[in-house]
Amino acid sequence: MRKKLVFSFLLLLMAGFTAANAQITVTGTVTSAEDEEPLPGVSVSVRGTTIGTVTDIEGYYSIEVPSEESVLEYSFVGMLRKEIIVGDQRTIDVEMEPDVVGLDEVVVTGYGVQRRRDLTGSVASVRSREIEGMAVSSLDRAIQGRAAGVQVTSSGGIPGGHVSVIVRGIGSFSSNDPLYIVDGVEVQSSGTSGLAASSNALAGLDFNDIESIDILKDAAASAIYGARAAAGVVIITTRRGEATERTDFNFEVSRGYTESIETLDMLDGPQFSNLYYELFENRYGPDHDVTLGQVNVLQDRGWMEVGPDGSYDFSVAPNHSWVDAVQRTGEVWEARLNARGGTESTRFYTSLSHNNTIGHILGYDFARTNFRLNLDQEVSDRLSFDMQVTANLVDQTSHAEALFSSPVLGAYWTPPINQIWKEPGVFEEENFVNHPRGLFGSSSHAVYNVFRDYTDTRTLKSVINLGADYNITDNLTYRGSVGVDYNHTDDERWNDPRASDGMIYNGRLFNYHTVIYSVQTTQTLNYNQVFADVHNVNAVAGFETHERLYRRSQVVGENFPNPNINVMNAAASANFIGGNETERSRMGTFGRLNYSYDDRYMLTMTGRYDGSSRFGADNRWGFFPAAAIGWRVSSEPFMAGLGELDNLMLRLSYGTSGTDAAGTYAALGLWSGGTQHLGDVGIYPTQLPNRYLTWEESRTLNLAINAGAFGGRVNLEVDLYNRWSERLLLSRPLPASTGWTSITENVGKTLNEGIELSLNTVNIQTDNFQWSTNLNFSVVQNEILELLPGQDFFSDRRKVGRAIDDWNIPQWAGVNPADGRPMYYDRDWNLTYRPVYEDRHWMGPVQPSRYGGIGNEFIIGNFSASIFFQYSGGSYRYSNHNRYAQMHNGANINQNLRTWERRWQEPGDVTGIVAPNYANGYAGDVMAPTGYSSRLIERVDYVRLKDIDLAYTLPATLTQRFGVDDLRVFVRASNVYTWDGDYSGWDPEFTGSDWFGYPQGRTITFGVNTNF
Amino acid sequence: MQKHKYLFLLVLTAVMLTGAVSCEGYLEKFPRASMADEEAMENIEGIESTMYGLYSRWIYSHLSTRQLAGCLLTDNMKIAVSNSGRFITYPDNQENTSSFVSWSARYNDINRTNMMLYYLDEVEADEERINRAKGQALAMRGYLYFELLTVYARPYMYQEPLVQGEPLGVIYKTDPFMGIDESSFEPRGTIEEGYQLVLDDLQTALVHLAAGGDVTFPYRFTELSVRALLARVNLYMGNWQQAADYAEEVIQTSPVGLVDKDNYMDAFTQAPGAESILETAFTDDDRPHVNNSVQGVAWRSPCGTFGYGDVILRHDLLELLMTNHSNKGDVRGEIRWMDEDPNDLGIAFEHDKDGEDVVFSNKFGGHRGEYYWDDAPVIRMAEMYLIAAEAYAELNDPDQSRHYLEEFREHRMDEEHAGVDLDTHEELIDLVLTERRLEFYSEMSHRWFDLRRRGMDITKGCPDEDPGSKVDFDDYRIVGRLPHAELEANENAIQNPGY
Repeated sequence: MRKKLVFSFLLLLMAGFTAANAQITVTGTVTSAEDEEPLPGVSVSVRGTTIGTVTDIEGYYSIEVPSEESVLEYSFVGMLRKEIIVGDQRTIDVEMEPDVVGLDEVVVTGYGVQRRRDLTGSVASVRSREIEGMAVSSLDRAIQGRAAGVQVTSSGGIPGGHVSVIVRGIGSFSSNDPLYIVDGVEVQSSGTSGLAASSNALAGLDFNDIESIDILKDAAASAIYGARAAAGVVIITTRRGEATERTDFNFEVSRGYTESIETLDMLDGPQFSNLYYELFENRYGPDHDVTLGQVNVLQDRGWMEVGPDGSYDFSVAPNHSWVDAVQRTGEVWEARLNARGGTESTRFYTSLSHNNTIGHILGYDFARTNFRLNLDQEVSDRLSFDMQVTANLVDQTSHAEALFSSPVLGAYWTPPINQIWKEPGVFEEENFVNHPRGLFGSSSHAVYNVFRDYTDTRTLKSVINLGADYNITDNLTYRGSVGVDYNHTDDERWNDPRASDGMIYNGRLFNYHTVIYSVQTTQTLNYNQVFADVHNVNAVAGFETHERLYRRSQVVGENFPNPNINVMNAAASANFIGGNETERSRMGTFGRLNYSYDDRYMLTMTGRYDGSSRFGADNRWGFFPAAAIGWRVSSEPFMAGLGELDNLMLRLSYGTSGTDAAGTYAALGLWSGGTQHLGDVGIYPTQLPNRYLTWEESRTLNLAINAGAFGGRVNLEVDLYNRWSERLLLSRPLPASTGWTSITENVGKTLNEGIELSLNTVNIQTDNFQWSTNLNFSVVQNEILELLPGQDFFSDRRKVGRAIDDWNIPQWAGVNPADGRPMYYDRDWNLTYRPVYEDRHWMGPVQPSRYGGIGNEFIIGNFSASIFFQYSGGSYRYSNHNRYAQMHNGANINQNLRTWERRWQEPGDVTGIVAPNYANGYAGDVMAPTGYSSRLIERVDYVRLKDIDLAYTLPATLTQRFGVDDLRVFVRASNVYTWDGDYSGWDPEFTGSDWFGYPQGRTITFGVNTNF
Repeated sequence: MQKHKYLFLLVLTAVMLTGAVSCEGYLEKFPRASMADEEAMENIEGIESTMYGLYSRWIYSHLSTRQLAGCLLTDNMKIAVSNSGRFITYPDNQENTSSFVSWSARYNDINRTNMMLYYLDEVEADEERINRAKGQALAMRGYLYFELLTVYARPYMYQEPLVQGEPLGVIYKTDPFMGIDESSFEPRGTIEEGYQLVLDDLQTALVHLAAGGDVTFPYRFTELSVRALLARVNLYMGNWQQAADYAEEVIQTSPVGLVDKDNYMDAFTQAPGAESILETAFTDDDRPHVNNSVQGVAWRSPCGTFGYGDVILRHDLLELLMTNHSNKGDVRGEIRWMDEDPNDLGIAFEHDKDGEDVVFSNKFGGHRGEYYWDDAPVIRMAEMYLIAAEAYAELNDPDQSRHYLEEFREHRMDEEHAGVDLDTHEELIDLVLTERRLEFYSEMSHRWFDLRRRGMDITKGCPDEDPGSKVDFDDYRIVGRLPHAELEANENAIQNPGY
C-alpha cells in the first residue's frame, strides 16, 4: 500500500507540470465496482493529449480538459480501461471493473506492439502465467495445446530434444518450421548437434524469463516478416525492468520426479521360447527335421522341457526384462533467481537459473544454466538505449538411437531369455553378463553399452541485442539495432572398446564442433499520430539484413591404448575427418501502416521486399504484400444498448508471405569431393543446376470475429482461413535412368483450410472464489492442389486431392481364418494373396485434423488450482516400431505381447495378426506379411491430461514477518493420463512414424516460489 | 548542442548499420564445400577426379548384396536359422530380391561416365591422359550396362518370354544429363541393342587403353581386364568363338595365373588376390562395416563377437564340396572345424551357431586382418579357364575344352583326379557348371547368372516341403523389378511383367 501511495504521489507531481491552458474542469471519484471502495492512483487522461492526473487516496480527481469533445481515459493496473466523453458533465464518477482476462493485453506484432483489441491480423498469444514453472525442457513444448492454430508435437521425449511447432497445418513439402524472433532477433531454433539423438536450440532459453509468446498466423500479421513468414512467426518477448522503489527478487526452487509415460508389454522368456518353437512348427510342421532340431536346441539350453507324454513346456525358460532394466525414476531439479528494478532512467531485469534433469531412461541427462540481463537506459527524453544479453549452456547426454546397443531400442529388441546381469542394478564390469550368446546371439548389450558409452552434447547459445531509439519528433522515432545469435555445439561420442560399438575399432571417439551464428541489423522509423481526434495513424518503415554462417568440423579417432584415456590425442589413428561450411544472407525493406477511424474502422497494410542468397540472380527478390480491415461493430451507435456485449469486431485479411527454405545453394549445379580411390582424390556431381529457383509463397485469406461480453468475462475469437501455398519447392523425381533421382523445382500448390476457436471465460467470480476457463480448438485440412504439370501424383506420399505425406500403401486384410495366411485387398477391395503395385490405396492424413486444449483455473482464497487437457485427433500413424515388434518371423527380436496374444493359432481364428512363421514363408507369397502395408497404420485420437497444478500462497501476515512479500508452494503433475483408445504404440503424440525413441515422461514436481 | 550530438549519433548509427552491407555482394554466396559444374570439369584433372570418385562408388557396389544375392537366390547358400534378419527374403526368391543390382546407382554411375566422355572432348590435355580417361570411362560404362542387362532383362540367349511382345533390355543413355530435358526420358531399348552397346564400349575402350599408358593393375580397368570382361560378355551372348579367343588371350598375356591348390587361399587373402584380374580396393578411409560387408553377414568369429553369420552354405553344395575333397583331394572342400584352430579357418569352416551346424565361407575373411574389409575379386583367372572350357565345348572341340578343364582342376585337386574323360557336349557343360559352382559359390552372384544365361530352373532344398524352393526359368522373378520411381517419372518406361 505504501508503495502505491508513493507512486501516486510521483504521478501527481508529474501531472502538475502539464496542466496548463485548460478550459473545462472535470472532477469526480473513481471507485471499484467490486466493493465500491475508492481507488487511489488511477490514471485519468485526455485521449490524444498529454494531459493527465491520478486519483488521490479518496479516489478523487480533478482535471482540466480542452473541450466538451474530449474523451477521458481511466486506467489502473488490474482494472478494465474506461473511456468517457466529457460532454456537458462537470462531475464524472466512475466505477471500474476488474480486468480478469486482460482485455487491454498488448500483443507484439513485429517491429511494434498493438493492443489485442485493435488487431486486424490473427495472433495467438500464450501468457507467461500459463507456462511458468512447467517441468519441460523447452518453451516450444510448454505452449502445447495452449494456442489455437498452433500444433506442437515431438517424435520423442529426450530432454532438450526436438519439438515440432506447426502453425495452421503443414502446407509446404520442404519446411514448415515457423520463424522464431527473440526480442527482435531471429534465432536458430532447430537443433545444432551433429551427434545427439535429438537436440533443440531453444532448449537453452529459460521460459520463466518470458513475458509473452505471440504467434503470428495470417499474412496480415506475418507479412512484415515477408520472406521468412510463410509458416508463421513466433515472437518471444522477455521480461524487462521497471522503475520501482526497490529491487524485487523472485526465487523459485522445485524438484520433480519422472517416469516413462508408457512402456510396451513385450514377451517374457517362456513366451519367447514358445514363439520360437511356433515359427518352425508353422513353417515346417511339428514333425519336420528342422522343427525337431530346434526342439533339441531349446531343450539343451533349458528353455523348454518335453514332458513324458511328449508335451512341450516352455515355462522353464528364463526371463529377463530388459525394458525394466533401462527404466529409472528420473529427476528434475530446478532453481532460479531473478531481480527487476531500477530508476526512471535505468531499468534492469536479470536472472540466473539452473535445471538439472536425470532422464527416466538410463544414460539420458540434461542440464541447463541460463543467464540474462535486460537493460534500458534513457539518456534523454529523446534518446534511449536498450540491451538484451542472454547466454545459456545446455549439457545433454544421450545415446545413438535405433541401434541394438541403444538403451531404448536395444531393451525392446533383446530377447528376454538373455541374462542382463548377475545382480540387478549393479553397474560394475564383472556384474554384467556381457555379450549374451545363446540361441539369440546379439553382440550388443543395451545396458552394458549405456554403462560404457555416451554421447555428450554441450551447447552454448547466446543472443545479444543492442538497440537505440531516438525520438526525432514527438511522433517520429528512429530505432537501430544489431543482434547476434551465436550457437556453439560441442559433441563428443565415445564407443568404449569393451562395448560392442567400439570393439572393432578398439575404441572410437567422435568430436564434432558446430558453430552457427547470425548477425542481424534492423533499422526502423515509427510514426504515430492522431488527427482530429479520430484518425489514428501508426506507420513503420524499415530495413533489415541477416547473415548466417554454419560451420562444422568432425574428427573421429580410433585405436585407443586404454579405455580410460579417451581424448583425441590418445587415438592412434583417424577413422574419419570431415567438415562443412555454408553461408547465406537475406536483406529486405518493409513497411506497415495501421490506420483506425474513431476506434471503429481499422485498416492495416503491410509489405516487405526481400532478397535471399539461396536463389539464382534472376529470381532472388520477392515482394510480399498484405492488407487487413477491421470493423468494431460494437462501437457503432446502432449497437448501443446491447447490454452485456462490450466488444464485437469483424476482421478480414488477405496477403502473402514467403519462405526460402531451399537448400543453401539450391540453384547451383554442384560437385563435391571427399572420396578417394587408392589415395587419388575423387569428386562427384551432387546437384543439378536450376537457376529459375525462387521463393515459396503462401497467400492467406482470413475472416474472423472477436466478441467480448459481461465486462470482459467472456471473450470469443473465431478465425476462418484459407491458406494457399504456391510455387512450392518440390524435389521433382527424375527417372533414375537419367543418372539423377530428383531436381528441386517450384511446382507444387497446396491449400490449408481451417477454423480456429478460442474462448476465455470467467465463470464464477466472487471475493474468495474465481473459476475461469480457457478453451481453444482448431480444425485444419491440408490438400495438395497441384504437383508437377500434368501429373496427379508422384511417389507414394504425394497425390493431388490428398494431404501432404499421405501413404499409398498395400491394404492389409488380415489373415485367412482357415490357415493364417496373410491377405490383402486389391484395387477393387477384393481379397488377394498377392497384391501388386496398382492395388495400393491412399491413406491419411499424417497430421492431426483437429486439436486443442482446455484449461480450468480455480482460485479459492489462498489456494489456486488448474487442470489442463490437450486433445489431438484425426491423424494416422505408421507404426514403424510395430513393424519390428510384430514380425514373428524369427529375426531374433523380442516381440509385442499384444500381437502375440492376438496371433492366428488355429483354423477359425479371426484376427488381423499373422501366425508366427519362420522367414515369412508362405507358398507362393511374394510379399512378407511384415512388410510395408496398412497393417501398420493406425488412426490416432487422444486426450491427454497434460497438467494439474495446485498452489497455496502462505498468508502475507505470516510471511511478511520474515521480510517476504509472498511465498507460494506448489505441486504440478504433467502428462498424467492419456486416453488413446486401442492405440498400440507408447505415445500417440509422435507424428508420422514412430521408432524406438526416448519416451516422454510423466512428471510430478514440488516447488516453492517467493517474492521479496 | 546536446540535441545535435544525438542527431549526429543517429546518423552515425544509420550509416554504420547500412554500411555493413554492400548491396551488391551481400546476397552472393557460393559454396566452399562444393564446386559448380564448369569449374569441376574444366580440365583433365577434374575429369580424372570424377573417375576416381566413380571407382570409389564402384567398389561399394561390390559388397554383400552384389556378392551374395545370387548365391541365396539359387542353390548355393541360405540363411542360418538364427539370424539378424538380413537377406531373409532372398532364399524364398521373394519380390524385389532379384533386382539386387541397384538400378538408380548404376545409372548415376553411367551418367558420370557420360559426363567424363562429354567433357573429354572439350578439354585440352596430353593425349595419353585423355586416352586413359576415355578408356576407363568406356570400360566402366560397358561394365555397368552389362550388369543392368544381366539383371533387368531376359538373358541374351533366352529372350523369351518377351515384355509386351518385345525383347526389352534397359534404357540406353550415352549423353550426360545436365538439366531438365524431358525428351531424354527414354524408353527401354532391345536386348540386342544393349549387348551391342556393351561390346562397342568395351572394344573402343581397348583402343584407348592401348594408347593410355599404365593403369593400376588390377584395381582399375586395364586392357587385360577389359578383355576378360569381353570374354564374359561374349560367353553370356553365346558368341563362343569370341569368348574363347578373349579368354585365351587373357590366359596367355596375364601376369597372374592360377594359384596351385596348396596356395588356394592366396586368391582371396593376398592384396591383391593372387588370381585377380580385376579387384575392388578399399583403404583405411573408406572400408566397409558389419552391415554392408560380406564378412559382416556371411561370417562369424570363433567367439561370436564379430559378424552376424547369417549366410551359410547349403547342404547339397556342402556335400558336393566335401565329397570332392575326400575323393579327389579338392582343396575347395576342405572344411575346417572352427574348434581346430581359430587362426587357420581355411576356405570354409564349420561352426555351431546357436545349436545349428553351419558352414561359413571364409573367402571374405577380412583383408589385412581388419574385420569387414572386403577387397573382392571381380574377375579372376579361374573364370577365364572355365569360360574357355565352356566355349570350346559349345564349339564341339572337346579336346580344347578338356584341356582347359584339366589345367584348371590340376590347380584345385590331386593331380591323379584332375583328368577329365568326358566326351559329350552335355557332360562337358555339366562339368563346367559344376566347377563354376564349386569355384565361385560366394562370389559375384555367379551361380544366379550361370543358371539364368543357360536357361536353367532353380531347384534347391526340398521343393515338396519347402515352399518357394523351386523357381522355373520362365518365372517372372528371374528378371529384376524396375524401381517404381523410374516408372512414375518416366512414362516411356515399362515394368517387367509379373510385378
